[in-house]
Amino acid sequence: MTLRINKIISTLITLAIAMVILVPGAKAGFGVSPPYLRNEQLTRGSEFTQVIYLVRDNPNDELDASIEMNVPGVESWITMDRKNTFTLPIGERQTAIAFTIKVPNNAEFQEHKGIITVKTKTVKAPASGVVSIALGVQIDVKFQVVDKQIIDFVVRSLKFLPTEEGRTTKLVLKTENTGNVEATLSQVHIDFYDANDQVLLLGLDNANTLTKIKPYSTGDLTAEFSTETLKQSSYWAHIKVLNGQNKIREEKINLTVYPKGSLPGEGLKFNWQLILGLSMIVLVFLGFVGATRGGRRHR
Amino acid sequence: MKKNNLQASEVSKLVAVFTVTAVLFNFIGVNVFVTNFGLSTLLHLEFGNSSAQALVATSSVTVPNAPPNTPTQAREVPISSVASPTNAGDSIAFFATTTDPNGDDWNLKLCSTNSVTGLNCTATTYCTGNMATSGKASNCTYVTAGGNPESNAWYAFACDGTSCSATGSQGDLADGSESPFIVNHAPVFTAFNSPAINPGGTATFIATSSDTDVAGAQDNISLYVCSTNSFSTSTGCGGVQLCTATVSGAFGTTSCTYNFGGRTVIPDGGYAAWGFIKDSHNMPAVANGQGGATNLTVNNVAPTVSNFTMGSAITLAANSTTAKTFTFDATDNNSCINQASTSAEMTYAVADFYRSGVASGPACANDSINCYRNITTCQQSGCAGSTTPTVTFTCTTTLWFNAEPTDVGSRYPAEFWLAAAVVADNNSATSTQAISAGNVELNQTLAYDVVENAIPYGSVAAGATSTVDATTTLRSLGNTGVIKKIDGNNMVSGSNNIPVGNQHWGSAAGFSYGAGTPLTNGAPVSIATSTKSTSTSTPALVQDFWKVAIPSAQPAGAYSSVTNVTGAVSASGSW
Repeated sequence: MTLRINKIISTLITLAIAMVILVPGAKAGFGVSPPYLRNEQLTRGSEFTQVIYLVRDNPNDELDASIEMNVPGVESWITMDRKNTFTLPIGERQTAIAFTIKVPNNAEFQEHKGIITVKTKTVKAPASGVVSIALGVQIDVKFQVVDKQIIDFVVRSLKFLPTEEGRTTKLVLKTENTGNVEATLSQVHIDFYDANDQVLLLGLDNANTLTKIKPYSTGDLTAEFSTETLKQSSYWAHIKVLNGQNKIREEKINLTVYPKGSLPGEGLKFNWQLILGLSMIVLVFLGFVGATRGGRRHR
Repeated sequence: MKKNNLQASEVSKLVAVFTVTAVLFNFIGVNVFVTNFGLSTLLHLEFGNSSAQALVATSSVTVPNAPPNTPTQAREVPISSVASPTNAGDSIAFFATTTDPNGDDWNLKLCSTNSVTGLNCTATTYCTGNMATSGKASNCTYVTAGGNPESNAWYAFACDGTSCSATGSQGDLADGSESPFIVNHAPVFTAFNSPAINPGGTATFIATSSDTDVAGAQDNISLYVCSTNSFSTSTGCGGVQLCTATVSGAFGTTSCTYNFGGRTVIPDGGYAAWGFIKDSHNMPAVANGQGGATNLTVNNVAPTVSNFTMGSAITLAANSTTAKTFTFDATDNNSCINQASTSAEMTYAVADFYRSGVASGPACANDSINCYRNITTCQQSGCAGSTTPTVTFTCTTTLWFNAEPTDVGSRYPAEFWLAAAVVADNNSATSTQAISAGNVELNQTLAYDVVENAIPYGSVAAGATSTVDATTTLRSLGNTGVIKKIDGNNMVSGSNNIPVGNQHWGSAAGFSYGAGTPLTNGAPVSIATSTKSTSTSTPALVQDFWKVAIPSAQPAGAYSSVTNVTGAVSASGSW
């Protein structure tokens, strides 16, 4: 009886001590943004990368993070730019992980769902007698392989490059290809109005062919306009960006046309073809001179 | 023979002798009459009532003075004509030549009428020339004045010391140098002004003036507007000539226009301009108004806001704020800098950042979830001087962790976040509020914490069940609802285990251990859901409660384990 009493007391005392030992880290907030890996318009053979951020509040402790993937049947399609375990360092509030889905060329046209779980634990040794709490997050995975080409864009920003009288005008459009094929904008149209935005002076479509952007990528497109007739002044450019017949962005931007000669010229550009050609000529010439001298010596 | 050739001086002497003789005869009662018969002199003596005549052959010739002949070659130098008048104040020289019958010296007398009285012009004497010997030229100079009539007839008389020619000459050279001389009068410049314009407008400078000269034709008035107070009738503006115009100038206005060289961007303020006028004959206006300055006012106009750049999708920090920047253009036709180039034309911007579907749009009620109003942390850049109308404002706001997401799977997947802005200039003129054409997605951020660092079962005896609820509290620290999922492991103390399933959880405080749900090892199990936080200071939370049963004969020890809490996004409808 005495033994049993001692045992109970011993157990009680031990767990009581455990109550006051606190595990650091649990109280610091932890999360993920966005909490999903999603694309519902993947094509066969396509590649899609999405960056997901692990976020922390009060990152005062170093944490070990581990990633477990559970996307039945297609886990091999998904890779990431980190190992399955990695460290979340002290002080880092956002940790980026780039997940890439590579769709095989023979993939079935179907939807795939699953989850990716990110768990954390403190790097420090767990305290004895403590039921500690470790935080983790779930990333929902949903993607679909479709038999359909989708062309879509989001124009993030527009900016004129400086221009002057007698020159063309270039508009840079930071454009995200949100479709699933390499493509570019159909057309950029600008109506140029006077400085008071009252009188339409000129309406122009882009004169050049716009470069293509890979799907799910963002690039700068340069649209060129034949504005050589615009005199030095300030103009309002009413811009319409078209994807097919769809107007995907309308914007009004002020354009200043500077006096002729105000801007630096095109200047000399590095022309490797020219340099190569000149080098060849020099080499041929030197060879000819060498051969001539050699011939004289022989004589 | 000599007597027959009496000179004027000898005749004078003879007259003097006869005068003395007559006086003497008269003294003694004899009247003496002298009759002049050419070169002979008849003395006729009267003695009381009787008289006797005797022919006395003496030197008795009288030669009176004769006036100079009417001048010839009378002329003006320079020629003063309708075609080439003399500006008032300028001088005209007059020349003439004549002879004097007596060989006397003479001088030129220039009169306004063809009449002299004695040696003076009956009317106005313009000028009197130098004494010249007969046959030589005399000249005089007349300084014209504003009081002269436009056309001034003149007559050139020749005068010796005794008399003037019987008539005056108006010139005989038939080369324009004849009478009259023409005086050109200065135009009168009474007012100069210019109505205010907007940038890009055309300024009109208006001069009010008059010119009464009509000889030949009404004089024209030419207006010159100069950038400095410097002007010459021959070379024009000393500084930059802003504009010029010529009109027929009786009484009225002359105006010319100036468009700042086609510039459409001009700082607001006053621009000094000096007006000068001259008439057809290069005569400037008198000081009254000439060179008068006007302050051309370029009006202040309000700026315009456009071209927002919203950046890429927003990732929020957990339980904290995240800086979000966006940019927009502000354009002011008064340029980006003030007239003195000392400070910015556009002085501040006020922006709003809000979810597109929120009530009242940019006029929404300020809160951390949907609406961030009156953002003034905006910096401008890109001003390259007074010809640059546009600057870029970069505004930064701090978004709370509970700002409403708009991405796929959120409550508002068809919406996004927008910005609106108003810019004010240094005259307190404000733009109309512009709303971004572009937009930005605000991503879901799943974030949470657990308030407790451990599950505090306390001390439990072997074979007993804990009686006190061990509480765990999950708080939503992101912008989604949070599903709390759990899994765990056996509690371990050395080689001893307490099975994981001995830990039971319940959703209500004071739950009965037997009614609780055992903790499992394996796939995380959902046990509770926390709503999305609507407050930044008191986040939404969910609690659950734990009890543990210690098996009988469980060895004493400090048992440890880790309970994994995994957060997952709840369905947006439950946020």
